[in-house]
Amino acid sequence: MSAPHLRSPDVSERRREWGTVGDNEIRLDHESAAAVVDDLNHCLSGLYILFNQLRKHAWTVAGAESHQIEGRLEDNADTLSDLTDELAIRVHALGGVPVNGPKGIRQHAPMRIEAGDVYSLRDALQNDLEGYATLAVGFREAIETARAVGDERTVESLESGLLRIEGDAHTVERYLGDDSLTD
Amino acid sequence: MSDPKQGRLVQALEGATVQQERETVHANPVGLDAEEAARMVEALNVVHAGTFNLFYLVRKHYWGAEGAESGAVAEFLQGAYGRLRAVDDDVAKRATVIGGVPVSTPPEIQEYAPVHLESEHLYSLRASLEGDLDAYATLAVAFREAIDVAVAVGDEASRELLEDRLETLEEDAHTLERYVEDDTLVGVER
Repeated sequence: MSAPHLRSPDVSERRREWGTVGDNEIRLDHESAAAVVDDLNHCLSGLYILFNQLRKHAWTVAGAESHQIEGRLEDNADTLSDLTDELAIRVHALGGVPVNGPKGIRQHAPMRIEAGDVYSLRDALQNDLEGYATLAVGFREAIETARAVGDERTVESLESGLLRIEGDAHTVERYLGDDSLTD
Repeated sequence: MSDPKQGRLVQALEGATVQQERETVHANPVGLDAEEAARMVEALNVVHAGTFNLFYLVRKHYWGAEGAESGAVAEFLQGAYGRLRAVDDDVAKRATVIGGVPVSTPPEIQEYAPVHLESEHLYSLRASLEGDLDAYATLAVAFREAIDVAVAVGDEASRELLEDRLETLEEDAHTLERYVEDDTLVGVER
């Protein structure tokens, strides 16, 4: 399906087609690589959605406690951005195409995108916490897949990423436990 | 949570309190009247959405350059996407400060953005970077238009922010241009 609002370089410049998995340089058989790529793209779609959700909340926090929370949300978004780069570059190495636009995000989305209205801080952070929980599930599934095919390097990336996600989720949870965070 | 593929991907939060609806402009503490603030928010949202998209283009091409082990280009693209994110954050926050809501959902961003995303396939590094260069030029035009609005409504802080960040974009566009002109760029892709 061609979308007129997308830039589309000449087909002769195309190196890899979205949704395909070609050869890889790490001696993983095609079927195994494709399974890992699929799960990593699921993680990448979730990372895209939560990353932008945290940014939206950082942009729009208003109120007495905003500076501290704004900084924390931006730090947490940085973490998700680092993980996104790591997993996307891994998808490249596996011969795949990382999720990089609306079609891929929709195709792999593990969670919904929050509507454009500004919600109360408590509701916004609650939604972030749910996003983290969904993302963690996706990481665990991808770890299982990578382990089953013997892709230890991906397992390592995902495990350290999961640890960081869980740590950041905990910081959001602490704000929600704080009574002074008014509705 | 139900399968997002079955319905609309963008969804209102159930049972949540809306503090400000999208596309509305609340009173601001910086002395702009409602109409001026609304004009400025609109212009900032165009810049914000365009920067948002260019961030994704440059980051996509960073991944590809990194994969092709084209060291210097990859390193530049990584820095450039980081600067785009910082610029985008600053512009979006400015929209909030003057009482607006920065656009945040993909349909809204695509509606506002003067810079278009690339289709999902991976392209040669040269074709990718040429597209990025065009996008930087398009975004610079949007910045200049927003600066004109800031001057017209007397929003000095927005004008200063936009002028400063435009300089950052122009420097990166210049560096990118040198890479695109460099013949060896062909040699680093497989």
